[in-house]
Amino acid sequence: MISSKSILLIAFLFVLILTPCSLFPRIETTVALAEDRPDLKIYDFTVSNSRDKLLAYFSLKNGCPPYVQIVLKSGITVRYIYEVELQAPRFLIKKSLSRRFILRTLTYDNLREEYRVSFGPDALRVVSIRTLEEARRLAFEINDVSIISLSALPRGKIYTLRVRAKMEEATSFLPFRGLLDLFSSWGCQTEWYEVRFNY
Amino acid sequence: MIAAGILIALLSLAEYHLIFSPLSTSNNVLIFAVINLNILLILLLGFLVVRNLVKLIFEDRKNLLGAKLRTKLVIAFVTLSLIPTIVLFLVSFQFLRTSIGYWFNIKVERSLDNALTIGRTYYESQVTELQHMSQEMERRLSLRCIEEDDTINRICIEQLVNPTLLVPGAQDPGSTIHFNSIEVIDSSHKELFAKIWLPFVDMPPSIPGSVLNKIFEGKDSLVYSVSLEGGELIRVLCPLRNADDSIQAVLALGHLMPQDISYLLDNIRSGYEDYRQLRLFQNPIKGSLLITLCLITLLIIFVSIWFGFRLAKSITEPVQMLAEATHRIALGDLDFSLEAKGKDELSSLVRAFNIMTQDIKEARRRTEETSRQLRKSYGELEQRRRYIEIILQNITAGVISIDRQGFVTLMNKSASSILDMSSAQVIGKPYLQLLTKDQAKEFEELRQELSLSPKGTLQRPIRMEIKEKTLSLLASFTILRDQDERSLGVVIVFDDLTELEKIQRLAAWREVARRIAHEVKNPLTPIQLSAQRLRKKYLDKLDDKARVVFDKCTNTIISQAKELKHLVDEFSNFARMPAPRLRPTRLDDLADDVLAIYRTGHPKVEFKLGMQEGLPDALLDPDQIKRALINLLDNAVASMPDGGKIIIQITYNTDVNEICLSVSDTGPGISPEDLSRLFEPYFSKRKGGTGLGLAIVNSIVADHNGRILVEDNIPNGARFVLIFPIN
Repeated sequence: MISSKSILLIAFLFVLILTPCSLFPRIETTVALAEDRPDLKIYDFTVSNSRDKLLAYFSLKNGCPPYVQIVLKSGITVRYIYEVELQAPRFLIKKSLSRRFILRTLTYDNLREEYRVSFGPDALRVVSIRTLEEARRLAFEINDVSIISLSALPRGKIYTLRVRAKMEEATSFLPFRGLLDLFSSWGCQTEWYEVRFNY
Repeated sequence: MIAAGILIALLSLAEYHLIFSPLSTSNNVLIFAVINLNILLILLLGFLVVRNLVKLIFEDRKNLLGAKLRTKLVIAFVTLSLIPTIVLFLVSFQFLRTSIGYWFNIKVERSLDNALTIGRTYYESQVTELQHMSQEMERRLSLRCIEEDDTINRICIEQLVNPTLLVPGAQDPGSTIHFNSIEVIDSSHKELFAKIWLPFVDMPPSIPGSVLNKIFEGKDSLVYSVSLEGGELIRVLCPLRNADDSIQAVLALGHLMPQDISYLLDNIRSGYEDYRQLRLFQNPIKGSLLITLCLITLLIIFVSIWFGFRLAKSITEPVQMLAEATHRIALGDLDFSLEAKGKDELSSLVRAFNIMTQDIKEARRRTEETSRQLRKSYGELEQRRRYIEIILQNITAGVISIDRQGFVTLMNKSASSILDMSSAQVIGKPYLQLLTKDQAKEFEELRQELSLSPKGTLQRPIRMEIKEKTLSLLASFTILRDQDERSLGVVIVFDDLTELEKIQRLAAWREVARRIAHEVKNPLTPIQLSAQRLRKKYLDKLDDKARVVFDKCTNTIISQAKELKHLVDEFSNFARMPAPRLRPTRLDDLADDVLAIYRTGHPKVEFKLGMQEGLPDALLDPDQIKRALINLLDNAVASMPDGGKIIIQITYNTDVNEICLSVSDTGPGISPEDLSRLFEPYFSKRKGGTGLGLAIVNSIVADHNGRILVEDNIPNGARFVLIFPIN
C-alpha cells in the first residue's frame, strides 16, 4: 500500500497545479466589446472598364460598429485591407491574373477631434475629416480600382473578379501585444465576393 | 528531463519576445503554437516529475538502497523550493490585481480627461482666432482686390496685406496670434498669391486639391494642418467671393504652432489614448499577466522539483554506490572500484572507500597467502602426523600414551590387539580406572620408580591377566618432556612376548625331549635286552617261587622299558618334527580314511563326517595332518569312555580362502583354566597321557601357517577348529 506520506505529497502537487487554474475564472480574459463581432459585408460590387483598364467598384458595410468606434476613440488605428483578385477559368484550379491589395487606415485624433484616413499602399496620402460619416465614406467606398490592362485580357472568356475585406488593429502601444491579440482578437474578415463577367 | 527543461526555458524566452513585440495578427498563430508547445512541455515535465515521484515511492516501498534518503532529500528540496515559490506567486497575483486596479483609478482618468480638455480648448482657441483673422482678411480682399471682371488683383493683395503681420512677434491689433503664411489659390488650384515666413528652410507642402475643392464646393471654412520641422502649421481655408457671391479663389491663412507646445499637446493626446487603450484591454492584460505568472511559476516549480531530484540523486547515488559496494565487499567481491566524480566530500568518501577496498584486498591477499602457507604446513604436519600414526598403528609393539593427569590420550592398534580392548574404551579415561587393584598397585610402583629414573625410561617385563588370558609383555616406560623439560606424560611401548615365550618354551621342550630321547633311549635297549637275556638264561633254572618273582620282575622291566621306549619315541617324534611337505590334499578323503580306522576300534562312539560340497584341494602335508587328526580323535575318544558322538566337519570360507577342519565331541569339555596351557607340552589331564598330543597338533598347524581354536561344543563337549589357508 502507498504510504500516507506519499498520498500527502501527491495531494500537495495536485493542489499546487489546481491553485493557479482556480484563479483563472476570477479574471475576464476577453474584451466584452469584442463579443459583438461585426457582420462585415461587401456590397455594390461592380466591374467596369475604362478605355484601357479593367476597373472595380465596391463598398464595405458594417465596417465601423460601435466597439470599433470605441477602439478608434482610444487612439488605436484600425486597418482595412481589401484584397482584389482576377481569375481566369482553368481546369480544376483557376488561374490568378491579377491580385491587388488596397489599404485604408482609420485613426481618430482626440485632440483635434478629427478622423484621419490614409490611403495606400501605393500612393500614401492622408485625409483629415471632422465627421465619422465622411471617414467611413473614404475608408469603405472603393472606386476606380485598376485591376488589369485590357490588352492583357484575352477576349471571349468568362472571368471571375473577387474581393474580400479584412479589418484589424494596426498599432497599439500596449505591452503583451501578441498575447493580447489572443484574448481580444476583435479583427474579422469577409467571405470572398465574386462577380463573373464575359469579356 | 534536462532537454525538456532547457526547451521550456528557450520557448519561454521566445514567447517573451513574441508577446512584447508589436507584431501583426499573423504572428498570433505562432504565439499560440509556442504557448501550446510550452504547455505540452510543461505537461511532459510534469509527467516526468510524477513518474520520478512514483518511482521514488515504489523504491521506498521496496526498501531499495538509498531510496529513503533520496525520498527525504526530495521532500526537503521540493518543500524548500515550493513554499517560497507559491507564496511569491500568491503575493504577485494579489499585487498584480491591486496594481492594475490602481492604474484605472478614477482620479487618474479625470485628470487625463481634464488635460485633454485643456489641450482641446487651447487648440480650438488657436483655430478660432485664426478663423476670425481669415474671415477679416477674406472680407477685405473680397471688397478691394476683386475686379469687376472677377479677376483678382495681386498688387492689391500685396498692398493690403500688412507686412508687419508677417514679422515674427508682430500681431494684428486685437489678436493674440500672428499668422505665418497667406495664400490665395484659384479654382484651378493655381497659386495666385503666396507670402510665407517660417523659421526653417523647408517650405510647407501645398494644400491638397481635395481640400481646396471642399471650399469651392461651398464649405465656408476648413482647417488643414500639417506637421513641420518647427511645429504644426495650422491653415484656415475660406472662400474669396465676388460681388455676386460666387467663389473666385480660396484664402489660406496659416499659423505655426511652436514645436514645444505642439509636443506638449501631442503628449496629452497620446497619454489620454494610452490610458484609454489600457482601460479597454484591462482584462486581457490581467489574463496575459496571470498566464505569464502561472507559466513562470509552474516552470520554477517543475524545475525546482527536477533540481531536487537531481540534487537528491547526486547525493544519494554515491551513497547508494557505497552501500552496494559494501554489500559486494561483504559478499567477498573486492575486484572493483567506484568512480569518483568531482571534488566534494562524497567524492573524497568514495576515494577513501576505494583505498579501503584496495587495502582490504591486499590484506585478504596476504591472509590468503598466510592461510595457504598454514594449510601447507598443516598438510605437512597432518601428513607427518598420519605417517606417525600409521607407524604407530602398524608397528607390532603396543603404544599407549598417558598425559600428566593420568588420562589415556593414545592407544595404537597393536595395543588394542594385544590388550583386546578397543581404543574407544580406553582413550580419554584415567588409566587407573582401566586397571585392577593389583595392576594399579604395580603401576604405581613403576611410576614411582620411573620418576626416580635419571633417564626417564624404564623397561620391565610384565605379566597381566586380561580376560582370563595371561599376557607376557615387555614394557618400556618413557617420560615425555617438552623443550623446557616439563613432563607431558608417559608413553608406554610394550611387546607381546606370550607367543614368543610359547615358542621358546616349545623349543625348550623339544630340546629336553631330544636330550631325554638321546640320553634315555640308549640305555633302554641294553636294559630291555639284559632283562630278556636274564629271563632266557635263568628263568628255567630257578625254583618255582623264585621263578615267579623273577618272571614278574623281568616282565616288569621289559614292559616298563618298552613303555619307556614308547615315551621316548614320542618325545623323539616331538623333538624331531619334520618340515611339512606340502602337496594338494583333499581333507575330506583324509578325514574319511582316519575315521574308518576309529569306527572299527571304538564301537561305542558314533563318528560322523560332515563336509561342504565343492571343497577345494589344500596345500598340506597329509601325513602330518593325519597325525594331528589322530591326536585330536584320540583325545576325543579318551574323553568319552562311555561312548559319545564325534563329528568332523570340513568347511570352506570363500571370503578369506580358508578351509576349516573341526572336531567336536560330546565329552566333558575343557575347563577355562586349562585353556591357556592346553597346547603346552607335558600338560595333560588324562591319566597316562604324555601331554604332547595337542602340542604336536599345535606345532603341525603352526608349521602349515594355520591356527587352532578351542571352543565349547554346544550343548556339551569341546570343539577344536583347525584353519588352514588354501594357498
